[in-house]
Amino acid sequence: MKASIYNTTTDTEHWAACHDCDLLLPIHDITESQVARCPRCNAVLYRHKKNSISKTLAFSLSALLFYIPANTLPILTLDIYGNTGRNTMLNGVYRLWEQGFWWMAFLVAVCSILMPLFELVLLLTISISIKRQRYTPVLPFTIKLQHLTSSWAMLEVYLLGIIVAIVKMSDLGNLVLGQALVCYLVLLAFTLCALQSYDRHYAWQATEFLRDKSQRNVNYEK
Amino acid sequence: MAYQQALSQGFTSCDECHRLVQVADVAKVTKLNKGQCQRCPCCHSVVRVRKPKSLSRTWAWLLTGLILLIPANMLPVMEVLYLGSGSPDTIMSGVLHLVEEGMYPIALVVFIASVFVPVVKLVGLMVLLVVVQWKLPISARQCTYLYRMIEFIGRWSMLDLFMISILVTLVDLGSIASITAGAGATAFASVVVATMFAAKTFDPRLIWDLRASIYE
Repeated sequence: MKASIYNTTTDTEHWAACHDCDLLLPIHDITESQVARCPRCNAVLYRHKKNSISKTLAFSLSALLFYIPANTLPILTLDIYGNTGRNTMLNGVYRLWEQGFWWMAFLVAVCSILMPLFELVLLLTISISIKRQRYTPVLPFTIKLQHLTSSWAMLEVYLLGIIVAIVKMSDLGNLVLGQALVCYLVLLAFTLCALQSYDRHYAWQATEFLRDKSQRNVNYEK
Repeated sequence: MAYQQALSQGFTSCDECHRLVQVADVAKVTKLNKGQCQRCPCCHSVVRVRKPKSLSRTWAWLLTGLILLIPANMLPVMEVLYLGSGSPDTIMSGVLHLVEEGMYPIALVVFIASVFVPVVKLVGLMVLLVVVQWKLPISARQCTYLYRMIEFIGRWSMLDLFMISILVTLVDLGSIASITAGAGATAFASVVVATMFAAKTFDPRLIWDLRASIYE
């Protein structure tokens, strides 16, 4: 490879740098179900996802339908000598707060309640605005925010917490699995599907295209 | 095949949208003041050649995590009050209780998530930092795999925290039996957060920068 190849400014659209090892690579068009990997460090550079935006829209919308019941109805109910303790995702936070552990209450609230909600709402707004082919200045902001929330939304870890709690408490009393457990599992499944079908790379490409188009229209109207 | 670092050709990729950006002026990309920085033409976020002050920030989070790991393991994470008498549980004794009761798979899951993972993360990040700072000749590919693993496993340590928040509400029978969280849990939560930030601030491209000359 000669250095002169890279010197023209338009080349930035046909070349990429690996985000893990900074290797300079030409971008190849890949077809369905193919994955572009870095030849040097094996990082996933780009994954082709079919109907990414429509799927994300559908999954995030259906996940949001289950969000409120999953958070407010009891997930587990424990019955010891006629006394019942109910766990919902919300009152777990409330009890920790009550006991004076505000930092834990904050973390549990952020990771299991707030961030999953933000993530779904952001995925929904991103896919709606790309679907409508309309550029708003909020769009780049929402894509960036979604990237930020994705590492703090830990709905799947909560499932492991539920399983461990079930095993630990099953011999202490009569443990009943509540309706919200089903809602929670559906919420988790749809959230994971939405994340799996969401393509951030494509979202940025679409954003850039829509912005160029809207700027062209403004010039045309003048 | 000749491998070339994008940086050596005057390019870098945007951290946000992964678009290739031509570095106009090196002084502009290394400045910390956001107003004077170069911006990505696609997403308008600040372009950085490498994550700013990656090594010192990672060291800071790492040491925070290491220090907090001591109270996290010594202090009780939760206290079970049964008919007025309490038995405090540390992370390790919680695992041992599960083993005593014969629930091996769950004991293993809890052990991996709350004892093994935080230690592996801290040690792994320390290895990466030492490799970068002392320029040790260890396979860069292996180091990158290690980094990816550390990034992936971090969130699973939150298991303990979620479990406590569930147990606290389930066993809430006033004077008969109740479970309260302990100070150790707060420390443990902080360890998890500190190690997650440590993994975020570390830049794996630094490992490859050291070896750029070997591959060319």
